[in-house]
Amino acid sequence: MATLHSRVPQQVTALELATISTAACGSTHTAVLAHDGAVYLFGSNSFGQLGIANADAQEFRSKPRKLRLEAVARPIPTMPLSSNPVLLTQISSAPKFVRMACGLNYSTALTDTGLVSAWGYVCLSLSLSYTLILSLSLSLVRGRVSFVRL
Amino acid sequence: MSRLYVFGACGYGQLGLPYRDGRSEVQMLEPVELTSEEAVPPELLSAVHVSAGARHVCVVTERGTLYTWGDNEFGQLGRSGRAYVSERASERLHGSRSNRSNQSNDHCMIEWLPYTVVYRNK
Repeated sequence: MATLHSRVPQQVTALELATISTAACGSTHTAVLAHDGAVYLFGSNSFGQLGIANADAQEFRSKPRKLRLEAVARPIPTMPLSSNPVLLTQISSAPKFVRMACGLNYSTALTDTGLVSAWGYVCLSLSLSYTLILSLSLSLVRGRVSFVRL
Repeated sequence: MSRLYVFGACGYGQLGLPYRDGRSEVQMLEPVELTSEEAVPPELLSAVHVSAGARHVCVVTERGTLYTWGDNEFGQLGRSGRAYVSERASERLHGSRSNRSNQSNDHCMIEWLPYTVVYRNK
């Protein structure tokens, strides 16, 4: 039986030109933050955790893809499943990310202006997803968010 | 310089250890240090950040490069690079072949085979 894996640590050459500052693993996806403020995502998108609307976006599985945010402000989502990266408040025209974290099947990123974006699927329970979204929006109400940790 | 130690389940290569005589293919019961002796790229020993997923690991080095290893079923290593787990190791992991056939889509529960990666600055 064939299982795809790699035993030997190897450099991700697709990100050779970027200077990486940090990386976070979800259960089956990976998010990488570069020094220039770009976020790259790769791996499984079955829960929208790569921020791609098309859940079956297999072409990005092994190919790091730069995160793009929708350039419009959206209301706080009421459904736990969100394929599109959605900023929980007003967005700047060119967001620069400074922190990033992954849960099992979701990802979050923080811009230098203190805005949090979250996408993917919080699968443990509906109430937890509300708690997550609520706590993020509460932090926004209180002032600048300076750190995202899950 | 930093040091990396690994132990636990390694059926998906998530410990970054090559197969070797006398070594279990599915688990390491004691911590092993990742050194150049274990076929680890020397740059990995300047790790500044380590993160572990269900079955894959990524490391950021001092120079800002990214290294990955472990399961690549969903492309979570961000690179090609494939190897095939041996039939025997796979059956020990998943039970019989018929059990495995139900688990081929993305939406199934991810198996949490516990393993640990420790890193410390020298």
